[in-house]
Amino acid sequence: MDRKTSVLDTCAALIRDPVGLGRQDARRVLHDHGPVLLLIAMASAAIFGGVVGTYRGGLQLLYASIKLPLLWVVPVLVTLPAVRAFHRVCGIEVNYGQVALAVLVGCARSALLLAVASPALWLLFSVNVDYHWAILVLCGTVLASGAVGLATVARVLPGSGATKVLANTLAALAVGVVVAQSGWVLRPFVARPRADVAFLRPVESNVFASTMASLRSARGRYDGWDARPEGLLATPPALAKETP
Amino acid sequence: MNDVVHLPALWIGIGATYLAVGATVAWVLGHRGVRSAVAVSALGCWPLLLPLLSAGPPPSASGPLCDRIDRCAEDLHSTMSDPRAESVVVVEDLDELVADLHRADQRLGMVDALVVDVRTSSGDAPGLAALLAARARAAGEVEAVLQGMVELRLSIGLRSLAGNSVPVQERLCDLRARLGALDEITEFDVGRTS
Repeated sequence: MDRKTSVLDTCAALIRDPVGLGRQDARRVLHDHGPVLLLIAMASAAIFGGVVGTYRGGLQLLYASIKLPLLWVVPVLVTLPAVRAFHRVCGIEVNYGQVALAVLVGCARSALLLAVASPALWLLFSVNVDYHWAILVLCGTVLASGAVGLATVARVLPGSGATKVLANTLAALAVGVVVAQSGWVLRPFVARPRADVAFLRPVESNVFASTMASLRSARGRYDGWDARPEGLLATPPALAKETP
Repeated sequence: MNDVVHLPALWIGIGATYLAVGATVAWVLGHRGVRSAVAVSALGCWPLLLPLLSAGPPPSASGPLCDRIDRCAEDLHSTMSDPRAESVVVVEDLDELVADLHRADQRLGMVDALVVDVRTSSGDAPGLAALLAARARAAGEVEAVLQGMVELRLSIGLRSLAGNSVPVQERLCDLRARLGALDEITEFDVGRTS
């Protein structure tokens, strides 16, 4: 791609030929197109967040527009070294620049797909779909576009055979876990129509404990829902009692 | 009371450390002459842009005369769009000429990289002298076109004083034709040496 390509040209390259974009000289592409790719990722995720926020409306629209880009970009920044480490452990020689570019291209492409899916989601939310169905559709959309992003990263990064499959599976697991917990910390995205709007809920329990509680509930055991504050960023119990 | 201080301090500590690293990376990148958009992006997303910190200027698809071409084009554009230059229309031909110049410059950059690569691996290989001669001629033509752009600016200035007519569009077409002839000269050189 030429140095002076427009945002639309970069979007077209992300959709049509992400591998061609991601396999160029990493330092040059990061220098020439890095800000545009970041802009595409953030803006697309913000558009999707805005649509998600329409389920509750009001201030939630703004909150979700701010939180979705964070959910899409922060886990990518956190897991970059892990993605490279998994490839190196599997014997695939890959430098940090290649990983950074591949992850950035994958992130921007998946965010772009979220923006593309936004009108359909908006239509669905506009017909007063049930809250739980709204959550499920949101998760499905995020999972589908995230899978496309991870597949793009796998295609861009070098390697072949079983080692490549193993390295990318491990990388996908690492990214998936961080995205899941980030989503848990940043919730709510889809607020109940009659619920109070809040930017963040108190940090309590974690996504995995909540998933286990859901599985128990599915088997008819309705215990384990007494979520307690956990983790470094959680409010300490003593403080939580003091807080009105 | 310690608990009350503990929570915000942790949040602020993590955030401040992240931003401090981002500011440092942005500052270093800024001093290396990268685009301001890249430096600003590094404030928030520095982990993605760390590869740009490795030694050497950021590699680019542009050639050795890229900055001079941009400067000449900008100067000529500002002269043509100056309201005191009396209705000199900024024509699309200028953009096309600049695009042609950048293409020629990129070819020069590619040849320079090739020469360095060949010299490192094989020393003075046969045919290298012919390539260097062709490169020198091509660079000379690009320089001549850049000089022509400077002369065109002077002509526009003269016109505003003396009222002479300056066929801007024709002059730009001449410069483009000169660049177009560069390809023919290169083909001729290649045919003669092969």
